Amino acid sequence: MLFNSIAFLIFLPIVFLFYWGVFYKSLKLQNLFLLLASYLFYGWWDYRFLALIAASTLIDYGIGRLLSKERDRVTRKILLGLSLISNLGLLGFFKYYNFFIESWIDSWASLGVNMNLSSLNIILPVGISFYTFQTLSYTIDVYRKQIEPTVNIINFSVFVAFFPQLVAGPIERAKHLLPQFSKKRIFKEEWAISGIHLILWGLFKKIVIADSCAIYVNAIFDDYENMNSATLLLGAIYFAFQIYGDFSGYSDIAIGTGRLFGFDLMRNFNYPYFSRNIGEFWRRWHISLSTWFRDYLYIPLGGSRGSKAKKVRNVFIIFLVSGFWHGANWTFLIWGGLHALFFLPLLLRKQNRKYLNQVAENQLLPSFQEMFQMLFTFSLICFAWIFFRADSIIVAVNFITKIFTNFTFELQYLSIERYNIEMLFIIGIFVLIEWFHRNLDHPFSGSLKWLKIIVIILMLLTLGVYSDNQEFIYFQF
Amino acid sequence: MIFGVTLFLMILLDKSYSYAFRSGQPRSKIQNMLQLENKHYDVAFFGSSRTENHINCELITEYTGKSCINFGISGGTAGDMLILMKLAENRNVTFNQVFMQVDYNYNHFGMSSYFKANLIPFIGEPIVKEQMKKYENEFFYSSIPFYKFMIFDKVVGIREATASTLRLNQNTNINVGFFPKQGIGKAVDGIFPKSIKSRSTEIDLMQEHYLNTNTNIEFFTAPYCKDVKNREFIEKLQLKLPRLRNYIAIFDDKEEFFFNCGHLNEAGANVFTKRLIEDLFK
Repeated sequence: MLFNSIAFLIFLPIVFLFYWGVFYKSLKLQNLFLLLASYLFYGWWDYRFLALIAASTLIDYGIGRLLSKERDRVTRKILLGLSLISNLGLLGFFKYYNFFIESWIDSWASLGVNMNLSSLNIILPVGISFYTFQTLSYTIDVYRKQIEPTVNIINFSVFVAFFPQLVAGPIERAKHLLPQFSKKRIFKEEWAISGIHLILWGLFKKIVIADSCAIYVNAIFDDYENMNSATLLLGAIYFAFQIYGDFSGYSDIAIGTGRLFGFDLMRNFNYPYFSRNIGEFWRRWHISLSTWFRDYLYIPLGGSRGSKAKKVRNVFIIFLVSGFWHGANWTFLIWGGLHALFFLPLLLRKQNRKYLNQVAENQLLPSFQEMFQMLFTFSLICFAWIFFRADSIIVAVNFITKIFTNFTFELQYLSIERYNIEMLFIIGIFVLIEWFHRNLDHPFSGSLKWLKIIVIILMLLTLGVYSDNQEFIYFQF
Repeated sequence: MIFGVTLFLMILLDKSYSYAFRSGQPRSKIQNMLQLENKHYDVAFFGSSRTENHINCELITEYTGKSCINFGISGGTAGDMLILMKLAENRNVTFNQVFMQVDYNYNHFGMSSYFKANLIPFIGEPIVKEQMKKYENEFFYSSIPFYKFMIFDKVVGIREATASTLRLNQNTNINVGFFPKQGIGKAVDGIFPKSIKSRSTEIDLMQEHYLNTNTNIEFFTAPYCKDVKNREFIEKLQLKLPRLRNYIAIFDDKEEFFFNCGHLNEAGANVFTKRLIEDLFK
């Protein structure tokens, strides 16, 4: 079920009314009802894959219980290994099997050896990368004795399948979300209103920004050979806003929906395009994933401690794995590799944690230096996004080559019957709204709150893309 | 409160958009038809892109002195054309001679989404509602304010509503309706279905519609490139419509006339129109 669908528009109020109206007296019933609603939400897409979620849930619940009783180090390691193998095995099979088979065949073919292995027609279960990472974090934390394993299987099941963040995050940590299922939840009006505001803002980002950008991005990337430098540059910028609007919009709707049910989900985006360097960008972009990799991969590898060679190795590992997490394609690996290259100089010069505050804090506008830093960082990010969006490395390289060789910067009329620069106007408005509310979750505050709400609803109704209902990009990851 | 504001804005926008499309500049052939009234044309062409891109009405008027209008719509189905004919009757727009282009669209049934989208602003009109009802449940379009404009935003969204309100003209003359393709196609290819439907309800209804009227209806097939696969489909079509004027093969040796396998370019369209003038009006 998509957040931007009629089905969800009907599903959400019904679940909300039953949750607070019928089951409010019993925490157990509320949790059970949330579990059923979450399975319905997921099963709406393809009920067959509910078995995978259930399997992942049962395995990690069982391993968590065993870990709580087991004192022997070796056995505990074996149990952790079992969880890793089963979760990553599922992920590996459904997401990466064909990639490895095809890469294997291609590499032998380049040596003149033709192999007869066939790839499988595998459907990628929506959200598998998210819920497997979420359950893994539970087992690892139990193994590290950072949390107590839960005995309540319903609570654990709903923690894994909680519908607001099931298919595209934020990837919650057990120590943050799981205890919330054990606490009595009381309906708080202001909490619910802030949830609705977040949902509204998320829908704006998705339907107005991301889906409108998608129309331009598809037209430009699909016909890049006939585009001039200006259009190609705009294509990369539009994609930057498409993926940001899409994913942060989804996260906002997820967090807002969580609030409607009395839950506090972690923040996933913090105005990443206002970053002054790549280090700051990665503290603001897909926070739940980057902190997951930091805690469960980077730090265990040694993090930024040790020799220079070790630091370089760790940075490349984490960024390449992060790239590969996004999809089974070399383009994602290059994207991750580029970010490693951008990040490395900062780490080696110990500049990666330089900017921990909000840019131009307590000021209306950024300084010239801050503006330059933000633009430079955004340019690097857009450059890497080209690889992320392109169908293949060859397409990405040709796209970039054309930007730097065509050198024509004229207005271009696209196949979608719009000029290449038209979307810049809406993006400009969006950037200004974000800039002036960068210390908040959403812009609906202050004395002009209602005016802002009306303008956003008007934009949502008139500028939103509804005829070409787009799935969220991160569903595929 | 937010829901109340949203509903109020939806009602307001619904009224504004409906007004804009009803009283603004028509920007499609369907909207044009809905604003026409008490008009008479000697000749009218109906069909898909093979009518819209191929029939130059100005040329017909120049050579024959007959008034002519091209109602062909790219992607248009036989169902779309039947509704246009009904709308014409409703607006008292009459013709002496109607030419309907038929090919694989004989196999299709129903309205195209582009056509449906263009009818959406006029759904309040009884004739439009009546025609739409035949093909789908229009309950949501009629009962949820502004929903219809959101669902079809590509065709009747803010851009078109604004252009219509500001009375901006299309780049081409909508009253003539000829939008030729430019250039010569590189990879010409195409395919017809292997089998043909036993009957096309909509084609039958068209014939019925003009039966016992002063309007004569004829069917024709536009040229295709010689590489089109399953060309024998047209022979099967000829069995269904024995008086079909079949022009499918007239440009078999003229690749320079094709934009792609199913569409002529402007030069090809003009030669084809002249051929029709010879065959149909002289």
